[in-house]
Amino acid sequence: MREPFRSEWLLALVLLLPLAGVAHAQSEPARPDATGESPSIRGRVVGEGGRPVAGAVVRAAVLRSSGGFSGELVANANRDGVFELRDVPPGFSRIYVIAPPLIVVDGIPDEGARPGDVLTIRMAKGAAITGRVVDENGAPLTGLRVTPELVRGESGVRTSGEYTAYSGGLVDDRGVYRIYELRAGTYVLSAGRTAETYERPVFLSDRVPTYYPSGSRSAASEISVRFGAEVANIDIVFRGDAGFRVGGKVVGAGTTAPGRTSVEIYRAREAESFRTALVTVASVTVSFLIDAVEDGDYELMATAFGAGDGPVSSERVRVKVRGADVSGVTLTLMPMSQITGRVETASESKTDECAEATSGVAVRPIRLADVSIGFREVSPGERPRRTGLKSDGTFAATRLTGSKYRLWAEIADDELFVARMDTSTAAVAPSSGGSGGSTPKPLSAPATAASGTVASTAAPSGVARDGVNVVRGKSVDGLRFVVARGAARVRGRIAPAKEGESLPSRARVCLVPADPKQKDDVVHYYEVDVERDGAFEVRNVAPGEYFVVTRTFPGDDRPDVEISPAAWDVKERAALRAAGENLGIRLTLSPCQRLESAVVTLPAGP
Amino acid sequence: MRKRPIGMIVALVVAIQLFAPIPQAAAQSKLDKPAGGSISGVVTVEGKPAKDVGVILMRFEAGPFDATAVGRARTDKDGKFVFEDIGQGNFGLDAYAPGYFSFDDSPREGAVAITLGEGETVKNVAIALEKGGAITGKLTDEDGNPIASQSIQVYAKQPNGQFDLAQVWERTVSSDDRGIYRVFGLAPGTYAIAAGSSETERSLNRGLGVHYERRYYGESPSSEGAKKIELANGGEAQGVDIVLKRMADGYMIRGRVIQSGTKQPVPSAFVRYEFERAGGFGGSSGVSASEAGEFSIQNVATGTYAIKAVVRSSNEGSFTSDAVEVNVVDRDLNDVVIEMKPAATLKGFIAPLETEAGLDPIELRRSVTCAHRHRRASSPTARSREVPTFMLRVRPDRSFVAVGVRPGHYRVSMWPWAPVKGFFVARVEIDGAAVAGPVDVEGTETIANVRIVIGRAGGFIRGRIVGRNGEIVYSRVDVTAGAEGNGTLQMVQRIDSSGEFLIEGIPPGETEVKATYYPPSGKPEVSGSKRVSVPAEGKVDVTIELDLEADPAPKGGGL
Repeated sequence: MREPFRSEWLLALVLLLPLAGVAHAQSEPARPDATGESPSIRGRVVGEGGRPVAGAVVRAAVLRSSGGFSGELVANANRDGVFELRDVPPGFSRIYVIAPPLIVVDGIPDEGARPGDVLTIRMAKGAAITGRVVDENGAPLTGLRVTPELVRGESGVRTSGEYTAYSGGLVDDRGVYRIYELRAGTYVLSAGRTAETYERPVFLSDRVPTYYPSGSRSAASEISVRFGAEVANIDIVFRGDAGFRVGGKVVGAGTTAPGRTSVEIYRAREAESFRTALVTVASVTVSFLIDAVEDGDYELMATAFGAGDGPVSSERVRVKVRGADVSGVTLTLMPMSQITGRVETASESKTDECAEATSGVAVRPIRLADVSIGFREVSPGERPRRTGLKSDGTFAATRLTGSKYRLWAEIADDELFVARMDTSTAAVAPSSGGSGGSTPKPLSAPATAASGTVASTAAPSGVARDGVNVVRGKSVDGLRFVVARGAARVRGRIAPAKEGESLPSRARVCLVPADPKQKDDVVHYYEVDVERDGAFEVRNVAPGEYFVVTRTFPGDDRPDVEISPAAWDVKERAALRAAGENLGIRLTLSPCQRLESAVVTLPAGP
Repeated sequence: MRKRPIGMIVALVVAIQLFAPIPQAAAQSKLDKPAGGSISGVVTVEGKPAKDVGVILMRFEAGPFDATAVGRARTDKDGKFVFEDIGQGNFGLDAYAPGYFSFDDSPREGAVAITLGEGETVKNVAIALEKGGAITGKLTDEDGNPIASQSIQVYAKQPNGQFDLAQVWERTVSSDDRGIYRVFGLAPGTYAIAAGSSETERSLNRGLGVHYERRYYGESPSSEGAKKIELANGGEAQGVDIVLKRMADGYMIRGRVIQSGTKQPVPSAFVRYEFERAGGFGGSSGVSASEAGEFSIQNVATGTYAIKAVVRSSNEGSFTSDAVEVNVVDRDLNDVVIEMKPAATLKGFIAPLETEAGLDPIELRRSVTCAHRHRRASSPTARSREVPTFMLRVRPDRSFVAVGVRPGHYRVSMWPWAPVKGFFVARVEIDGAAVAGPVDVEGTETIANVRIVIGRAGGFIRGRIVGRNGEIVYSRVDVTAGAEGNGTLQMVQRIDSSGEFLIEGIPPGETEVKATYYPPSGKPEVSGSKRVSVPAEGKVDVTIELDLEADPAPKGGGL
């Protein structure tokens, strides 16, 4: 389980500059509008001390409706570290930077970058850990792999088994290993914890991994490293304990064409994603056996990749290992689930207010590529996934297990916002009041501006308020996102209560709809991460009145670790709202408003 | 020890794709696998029994790239291993002990080849491993800065004097964050070490890493000028340092995909580009055009490219294009136009043979190939225009729609490398009538109601190769079974050490079994063949004699 953060609700003292009289865009940045006139992503890659990283390879991959990425674009940073990715298609592109042995520290938005974005990507040389791995007689154990697990971030906050990126780790013929391109932080190292593949046996994979210096995970010594530093002589004496076997059968392999079935074992208390073993069984061999499992609580899951429509998997089955082998575990393969829906445009208004305000253009269409759908299982440690829209505006979030999911729209066009999220049934049974029940148009039709009341009057639907419950093997269909033009945007920064105080290592800015009727209108709660320098940007905001609140996570410096928006949880949502009401500072955003240089001052103390 | 140049293996694979006749059976079924059969043996390291060594059992099916790992074992304290209840088939065994090598090992076939009949047992298989040597050095740029995460290529001198990529225990060897690399587990011999990328690799792997110009140890751009490294048994060569130069930035190819008649854009077409290198085909990659039909290929090296477009969904119409050849010299190309012209459409569904009541075609829906009648291409660009083979994308309801079909004669077959094997295309019907021969496509018509009938291929051939007038190295023999008439073409990758082989998944009828021997001395190949009648279920035996002193011209008929 994730260790809870010291999450605090801070009353926000909001000083908005300029605050009054701001109705429309002012001093727009280089970003182009939705016409895509400047389809480039530009920026600079810098290393330590802001020095340019000449020759860094910058790559952009475009999200597709299948959920995958394709159409990769490539640029090399010049001697000043400057790069330009040209001909970038609309929508979000995932950005990768390669300049070994440097690794990216920050500067790449989670949702990706859009044409017109200007990025400053900061890199640093990764840390290195080196040593030897020998048996109890001092003989080198060539071929073993040494694996690092990040247990604390740079500032000391404990992690819970998230994926750790690194390079190296193979023990060579002298018994020497070297792990590099590590983020700064604190690690434990184990020898022998390697995923087994069917194609190639892994040396001593039938033995329990040994943690540095020579024991179980609970006895592991921690190793702290800084960016660019090297820690040597981290020698491991491999014990080679046999451990116990966990075995059973995979039922239902015949439901898909023969392919490959893997069985993965997770530590139960770190059930997010921590894989400790992988076996692959032939399609006709439905039994499995995992060697070298030490005492503990685990979860097992089987996944089959065949010639069918996609993978099928089992639910996670819990097992306890207590001093003996465990047999007879049954993993039943079942088809995976999906959520389908479509994105439509609101028809509340007849004019394009943003276009009229900025360029006099009457109505511009909404592009499919500017909208993608994010989705995430509401469980600790689960990471968001994304899918693009198909040519008819529909989407499918696939490969889901039976669980509760949250979905949201990620919109690359700053003028668009989600007016509401509901199901097709709700569309034919409109909620009372305002324009919330009007019939939406297909996305291919020209979109119109919002009246500014769309968000504030539509009653939130169940799926927007509570998420979507998915039953294993079933499809949930008919989800609908209704988007409209007229979105507002707020840019600014947070500031410490006293000049000279440092900012929290991780913080978020939240906009909470002020209308009490919208207390459960999750779609219109906005929550964004604050950059290291205190900057933030809230985009695609429905016009309306909001409270501004900040969330801080003292000591947490792990931007890769997911934190659910407060609005997803009914209690946290209520607390967030209460914080906003107590402060009582309201922010009214007009259609298409561009609010620049807002300053959110943090209160002193918790 | 290498059996033959890898290029030949690739050529054979391609040949099967191009020549696939109808109906064709794939290799044996993975379903209903017979029980029984075992292989056991011992692994030694430097002559002593080795414990904890992983042994893997591979099963060779449709060809050299169709080896399926079907078993794993680990040696006990006496170095022994056993695989039981593995059925019949052509198997390969490999032992993995990091840092050690086997003199008998070959890159793809493993250390030991065994053909096993139903219920047969092979004991006392011996795999001997030896401690390997190591080569280490450092990669730096021209300013002396270390180059990290750059892959190392290891070339070993072959008996014919050529340097081929060596099999190393660690499949990918890279420099670390200090630029240092170490390759180990090498057999004694003569080596050349290189790092960096070729132009081909850069164009294929755009954006996947930082590319440096290929350089061999000894500051040479080619293996001929490389400084050679003599590695003794278990020895170590140090200081094998290489200085690399960063590749210049590539260029951009921009263009549009339009309809030839209306000049309107073709949205979302897939733009595929192939490039030439000295001596032929250099590789291919692709990008998707935008909804406006625009595309850009970024960071490509100088060279000649053949660019064409295909549509991948029936929603986007049925179009095809000829390849446009462009030369990238010293600047971006910004106005490449690919014109797509209307093409034919094939629509239909797959169905089981009347006698195959239990056969579920859904399992086979990604295994059906539609093959263009072969026309040998004269150049890479010409080959790209042929579209010789494509897979029918069969939907879960068993239907399929193929768009962008060019005029030609199409044979339908099962894909030899499909995960589901042991079936063949019994016949093809259009509007309820069986088609005699290939499906003919003449223009831009839509051919609907195509029914592909699939049957089960339950026959198998158990054979033996016998040499006359000389000793045959069985690892250098290929066997194929097939004929235009009954529509099979199977290749056995390897004959076992006793000269035996097994070919499964053959449909009933007359089949020609052909053996070809590639002598190690570079002498002309020797062939022999025999026709057999394969039953619907069960075995037929065949023996083929190869006369090593016979006329090297291919033999017809049998013994």
